Amino acid sequence: MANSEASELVRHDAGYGVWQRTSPLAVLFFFGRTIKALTGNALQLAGTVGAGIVLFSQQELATAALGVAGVLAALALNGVLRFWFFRFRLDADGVRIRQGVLRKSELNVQFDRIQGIDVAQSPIDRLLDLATVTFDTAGSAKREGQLPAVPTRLADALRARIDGRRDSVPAPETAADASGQLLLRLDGTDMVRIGLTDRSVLFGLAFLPVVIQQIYMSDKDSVAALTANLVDQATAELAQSSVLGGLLTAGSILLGLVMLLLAATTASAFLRFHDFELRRTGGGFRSRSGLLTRREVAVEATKIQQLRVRQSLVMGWLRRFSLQAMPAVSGIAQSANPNDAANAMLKIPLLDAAALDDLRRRMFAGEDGQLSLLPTRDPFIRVSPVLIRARLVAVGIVPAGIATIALMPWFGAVALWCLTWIPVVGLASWQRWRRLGYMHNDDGLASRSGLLAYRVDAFLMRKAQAVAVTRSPLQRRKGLANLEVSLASGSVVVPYVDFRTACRLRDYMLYKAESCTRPWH
Amino acid sequence: MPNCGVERLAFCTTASEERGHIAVIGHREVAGGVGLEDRHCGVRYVVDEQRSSFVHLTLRPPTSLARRSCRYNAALSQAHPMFANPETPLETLPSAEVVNWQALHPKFARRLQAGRLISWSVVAVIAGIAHWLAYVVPDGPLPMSWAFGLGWAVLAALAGTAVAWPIIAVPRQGYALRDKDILYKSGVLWRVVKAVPYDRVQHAETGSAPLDRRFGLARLTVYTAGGAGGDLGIHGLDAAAAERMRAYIVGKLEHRQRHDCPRDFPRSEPGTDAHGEL
Repeated sequence: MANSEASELVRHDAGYGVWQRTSPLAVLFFFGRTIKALTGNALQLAGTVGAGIVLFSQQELATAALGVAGVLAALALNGVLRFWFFRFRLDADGVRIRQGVLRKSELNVQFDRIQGIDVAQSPIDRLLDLATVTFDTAGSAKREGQLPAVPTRLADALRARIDGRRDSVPAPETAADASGQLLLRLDGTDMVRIGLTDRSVLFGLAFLPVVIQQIYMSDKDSVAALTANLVDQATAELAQSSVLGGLLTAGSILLGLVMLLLAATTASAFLRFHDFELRRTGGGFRSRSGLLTRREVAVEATKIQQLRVRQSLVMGWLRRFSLQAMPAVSGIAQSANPNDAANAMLKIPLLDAAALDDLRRRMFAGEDGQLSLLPTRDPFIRVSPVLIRARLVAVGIVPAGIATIALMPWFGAVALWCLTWIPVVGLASWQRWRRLGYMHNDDGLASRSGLLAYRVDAFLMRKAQAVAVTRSPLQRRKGLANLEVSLASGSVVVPYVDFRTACRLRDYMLYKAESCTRPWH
Repeated sequence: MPNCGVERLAFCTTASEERGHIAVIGHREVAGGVGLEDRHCGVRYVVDEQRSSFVHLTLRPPTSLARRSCRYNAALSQAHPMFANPETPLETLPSAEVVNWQALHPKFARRLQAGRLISWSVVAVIAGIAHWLAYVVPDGPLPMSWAFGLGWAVLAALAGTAVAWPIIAVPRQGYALRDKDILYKSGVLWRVVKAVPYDRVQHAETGSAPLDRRFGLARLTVYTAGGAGGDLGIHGLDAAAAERMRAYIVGKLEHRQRHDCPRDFPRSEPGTDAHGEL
């Protein structure tokens, strides 16, 4: 059996086949997880804490401190107990995890079902050569398979095992040099670009006038007013000398705020993506990034169901894109914490058109022909402009009309202001229609959407899970239809295309999915 | 080395993504591929059958194109079982519109009406209690008779529509089991035709609520990977038919697993359908 040979090969390398504990540092991990779970209900917790403070603030401060210490000690004990009862075992074909203090559970993660592996290293982990390994498995209802604080060597061996499973002979000795071919690397300038293109900058800019107004209008006693007071004094002094000076001050304050915002987003980019590297390994791709906590995400090429390209407005000016390789929806992707989902997916935060094209070809393994993912390329076919009308009626005219009629008895002519909603929706629908488009060739389909930004979802037709053609009454009158393709990673909709085209695409996609002999995952 | 009449040959391998072309005057089958001889330098190339993903031929004029290409295709298909790539005429692809739609069970509309009648009567009872309370409770808000009348009228209209709706909706639902996928159509205003290939089905289940059992009906649900968007539920099947359909779909799944091939290695043998016979 190749399997037993394989396990023989790795057995003495990373303790295969025996139940083992993780490093005691896992106590910290469990402690942190409990804290996180508790702060998930932060509002309730804040209420309790607030009540506690009010109760104890005057006389029994010591009792309060004791109580807090007691809670923390209980949490720490919980962490220790969890660590103590956490055992895992690596076998030839999977990982088994036993945990639970009172309610015991055993989890069996098959290597075959793992579609990605995520290795994170916090600074402390790095000092002690440890790592936290998270397995991403398809079709599970919740986050499963997590090995906290295991030796890096073991993490490497696991990754090599998953990378190399297709050859059925894992080679632990290559784990050290399994760095693979370097595809992409981001440097400091790219971090600044990521900071620039961060969505919060745009939001911040949009809210800047409101913020400034708030500062000036706010109560003189508040902290914000303190700065405003200083600003006022400075402005007043300068305004005495000249109007230009006042303008300059206001401008510099504005500039300062923008710079502050930029600095914050850039710092956040550095934290997340510092020294970002994307490598091609045996059967997949691996990214590694992070300033403090180094996170390593690996996905297998065949598990990639869909590629999502995004280009925000600022990214468009910089001619850059971001790319997301989406595997089948899993527990992590559906988990409550969106951060987990974002971390588990292979995401390339910034790349240019050439790199995008190169990666697209590699990730689809050349199966997609020449499906271009660049949103501004010509070959995207526009959908029918009937969409604008439908949206204008459904989102604009009908709600605005109802609101106007309903508010008329109370507000009179003022209610007519509701009607200004209609041109807003009209403009938005028109813009959305301009962004919508689709493109396909013999093997793949790409759908473009967005409002200000662009988003392109591309997939291989043979990986479709289900295909539906939907028609509303208006669409039936106009001979149009929506094409909805369900993928394992989510669904892609091509709205308002010609009915015959939709049917032909659906039939062709079914043919592709049904005649293909290669597994979709 | 026989002259094959091929003038130029372009090849591409998936592993290295190298592209190149050579002028060829002859070929010979060698172990694991086709050996080719260059016209100019007399260098021999071996096109490895495992690694080459496609081969493009340019035929030397004035050879008879059909004869030569036949010969070369024959030579290639001996060494390249994966090379056979007949073109599929798009017009002849089976359409999911023109199928023999199977209607749902005739009692299904009745069952839906019964269910809605029950739930709406519960709503009516609650509304009645509220109406009664408004008169009984002292110092309560003054009951406006026209408001109550309007409320009851709206309630009656909604209930009537909901109860009558299945009479229109059920005849427009239907399903079709094809050889390789299952189709389901539904909708009166918004019409949907959905197709799920058996190859993508994760598991299939049947179930029936108490009311379903009373009418001898069952629901068949087919689950695919990913979110709920790809799942397909057919409500209103005859209980026995639903069970048969489930067995049929599961049989297809088992067949697929038995004949599953190693990854990245197409199992199409010349002469058989790409699916294997089902």
